[in-house]
Amino acid sequence: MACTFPFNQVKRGSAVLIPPAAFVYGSGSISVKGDDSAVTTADGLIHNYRNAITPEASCEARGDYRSLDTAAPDDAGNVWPTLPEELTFELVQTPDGSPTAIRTFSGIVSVEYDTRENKSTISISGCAASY
Amino acid sequence: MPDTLTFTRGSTSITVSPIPGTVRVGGGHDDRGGGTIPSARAGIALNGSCEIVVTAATAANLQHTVAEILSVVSEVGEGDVEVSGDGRYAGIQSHAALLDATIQGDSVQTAAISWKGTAKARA
Repeated sequence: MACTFPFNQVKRGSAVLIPPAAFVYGSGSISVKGDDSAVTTADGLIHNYRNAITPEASCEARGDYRSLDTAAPDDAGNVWPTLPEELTFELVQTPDGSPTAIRTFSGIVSVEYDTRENKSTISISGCAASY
Repeated sequence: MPDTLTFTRGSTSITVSPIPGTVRVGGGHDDRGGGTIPSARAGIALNGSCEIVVTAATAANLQHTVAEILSVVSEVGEGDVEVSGDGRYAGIQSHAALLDATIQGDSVQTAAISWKGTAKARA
């Protein structure tokens, strides 16, 4: 089974990477897939078990967010293979309101920037565990 | 008696008022055999689903905010949610359930809550 929750703010640590003002309305969505199984015992009961959780997130933001790409080239054009980074996804429901933490997970960030609409499509594939 | 469902996970409990007509229960049983072999129901499941309207603030005796819904979603491990109903949903119950929720919609958001549970509370 999977859960889906909205978000409109992304943080790395305490730094806000994408604020609500940059979000395309309604575009932020986290999907959390459970690796579920069930066994039936001899007394006729079904026991459900969740082995792991795999989170994925996607959103659209105004502007060029290619710098958030995991292992994005630095100013000198250097790249290097890298592990995912831990991001926190939050939902801010009122102006200046306290954000609700939706989920924190380590993920690989991929960004596609559309120059026609000046909009970035961001997808983050994650892992529930941090290494 | 209000028409509500209560989800309890550990020490956290939320009571919700489902959108009328969205509550469904049943199915998901562990059936074996069939066809040319006599079928048997090896395990009974108490599964179900409902939809609620997501609110920005906690209403009187109801917990419909995103944070409150998140608090009863199952994490890794054994099913750990107890489900019970009141009012027209009085016969609804489930034990040791895995609970999932999907929030959808832009302006008026609804949450689809589903659970997969069994007939008896874990000892």
